[in-house]
Amino acid sequence: MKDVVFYFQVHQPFRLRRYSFFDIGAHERYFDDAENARIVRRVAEKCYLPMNALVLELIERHAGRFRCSYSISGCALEQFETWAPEVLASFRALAETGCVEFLCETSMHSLAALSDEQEFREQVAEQRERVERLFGTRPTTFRNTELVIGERVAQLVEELGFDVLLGEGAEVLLEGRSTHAVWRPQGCQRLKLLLRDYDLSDDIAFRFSNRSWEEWPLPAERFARWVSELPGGDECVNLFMDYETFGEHQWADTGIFRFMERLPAELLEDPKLRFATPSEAAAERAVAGVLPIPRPVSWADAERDLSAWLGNPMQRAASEALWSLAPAVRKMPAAGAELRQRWRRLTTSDHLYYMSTKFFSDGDVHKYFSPYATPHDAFVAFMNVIDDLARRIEAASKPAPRARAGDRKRG
Amino acid sequence: MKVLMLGWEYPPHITGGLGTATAGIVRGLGERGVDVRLVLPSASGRPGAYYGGGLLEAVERHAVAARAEARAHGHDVVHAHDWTSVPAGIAAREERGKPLVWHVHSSEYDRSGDGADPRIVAIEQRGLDEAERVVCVSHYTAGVLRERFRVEPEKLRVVHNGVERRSTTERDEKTIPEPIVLFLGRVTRQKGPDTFLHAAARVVRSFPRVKFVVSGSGDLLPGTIESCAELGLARHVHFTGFLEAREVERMFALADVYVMPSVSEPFGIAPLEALELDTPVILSRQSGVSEVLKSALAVDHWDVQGMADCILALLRSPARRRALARRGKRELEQLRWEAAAARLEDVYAELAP
Repeated sequence: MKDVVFYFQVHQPFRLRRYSFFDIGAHERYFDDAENARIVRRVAEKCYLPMNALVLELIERHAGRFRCSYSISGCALEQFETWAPEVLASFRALAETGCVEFLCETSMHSLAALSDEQEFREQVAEQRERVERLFGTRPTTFRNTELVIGERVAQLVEELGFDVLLGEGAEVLLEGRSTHAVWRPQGCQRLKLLLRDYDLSDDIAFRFSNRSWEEWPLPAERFARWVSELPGGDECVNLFMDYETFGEHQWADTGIFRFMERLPAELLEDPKLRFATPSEAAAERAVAGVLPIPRPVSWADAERDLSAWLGNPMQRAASEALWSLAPAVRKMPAAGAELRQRWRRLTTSDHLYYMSTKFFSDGDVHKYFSPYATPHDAFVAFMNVIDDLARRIEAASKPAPRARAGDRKRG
Repeated sequence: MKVLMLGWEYPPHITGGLGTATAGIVRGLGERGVDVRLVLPSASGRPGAYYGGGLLEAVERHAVAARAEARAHGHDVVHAHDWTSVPAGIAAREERGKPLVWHVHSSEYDRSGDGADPRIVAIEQRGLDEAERVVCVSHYTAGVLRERFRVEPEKLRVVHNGVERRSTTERDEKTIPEPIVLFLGRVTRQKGPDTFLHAAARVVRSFPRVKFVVSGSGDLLPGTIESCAELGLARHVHFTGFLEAREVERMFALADVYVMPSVSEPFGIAPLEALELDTPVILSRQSGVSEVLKSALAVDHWDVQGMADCILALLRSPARRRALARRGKRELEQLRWEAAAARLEDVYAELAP
């Protein structure tokens, strides 16, 4: 059997206000609640709600033969709980079908795995508990932020008890090996690695609405034929993409919803094809071999490396400033929990992504997602926030001053 | 005395010192009873829009308006500011045959160095050739003109700029404990932001608890922000972008040291504004204002170490900062627009007794 594995990434960052130098030490409202609420509600209306309704209908229509998986970042879940509880309810309805797997990631959609292993473990634990609490099952599959994997990341994920890890089927990694097999990352004993088929995934996620693409417009039937015609028998075809592809990146009028509505039926026409969740697909297969990951690989940009977040001096300086606060954040007494939460929200990779200065084809993608006019504005606001936060962390770490004798007398 | 004055920008819509100076001069002359009629290129008062595309065309349109104004109203002298009003000044003089005073606030060589635009240089040369008198904002500027242009020295007069008195000089309460070292101005080659950044890098090595602030925008801003990250200064240097007039005052008042590291500054009003708000200043020697602020610390704009030493000296001694601010403020008393207006009246009188 050939498995088609859908994994959808759901994520919304806590975007920052235009926090200025004058705000440092004066105001501690870092996040743009109004804008974040507006965006979450807009994307809920355009994507999450209609797409969840469609997926639920597809599961029912195909009597459980349509299956898929989601990873929903903790910052997205928090924002749904606050601003769009109906979105959360619709995901829970999907969970109840038993046909949907919910994956684990870092709670704040961070790159902690590369910078601070202790923070990585804590964010994973936080997310694991939240997913279990909200969706009723303890996740066993892990996807790291932006599909960033490396040998050390894989080891950490295995140590934390996960069975499956998702990654990008990058050429540098595979060097001609199949993206449709199950692999074991070098240095791991049990962990299974599923790799994204970026050609087929991006046909849906990026090219679908591109009118200069020779396959435009792409009917579900043709896409299903491509999958059927893939060589080999026992394979899993991993279609990993942002969930916002449906209705937000590709608007409804591109026909993306109609495409997805037709696709399961078209694929199930082929008796050798079925849908599976990542853990199902991995459990059914032995590993094809050990895969070395000589340097970190992500699913972003043409380079498939870390340059989208750490490619220029501003990004590296901001990242360094952020992670240099980690030890102080951990040392804060319990009263510092709220500050710690704020710091965590700054670990979200989007803040670094906004500072990217790649101006070619990928730069457009960066620009589309950024709330800032320029990457430099993003850096300036972020560093102002870091400065204010560092002061507050320092203040919170000092032991409380003892009451002076005079105070007592007056009391 | 009736003056037809041709300017380019006016507060609150200003991109640099020219608008501020024009306003100060108009007010100063008005108080002395001089009848000034000011012509600006746009009734909306947004001249900044002209910089960049279509600038030369806007300069020509300004000349058409100036000619019409000269035809409609009588005057004794035409007073034109900077190259953008040179064609306007010449047109107005042609219309009535009254003498032309050309006031140089900055030359193309100050703004662009060796990257000077030859079309603008040609217009400036024409201003020097045609005007009966050329008013320079400093001896430094007169020197630049003599060095870079063909000019009859007997036409040149120096009238230093002034500064407005503030109704209040109250300082906002500081929100951060570290001293603040400020750069405020357009972030362009002329203003020397890279010298500021490199001096900052040397200062923080021995005095880490300090904040450097770069206020202003300009073509070098993105590169300056990137250099700040590259030099390891991301936690020490903050950027505010362009500030509105009220925010400028607030920034000057928050700062403990103001640095003007300009490569070539014909005058430089900003240090006067800083002193008005009790902030001591460090000046580039390549500036006009250093001729009149004798008490201020001054270094050559290329002398990064000298600048770092001056900043450090002031950071280490609050007493010295206060003393410098006090002495500088006393010097300001001589630098009022009334004084500049009186000097200008003398220049007019030479031409239209």
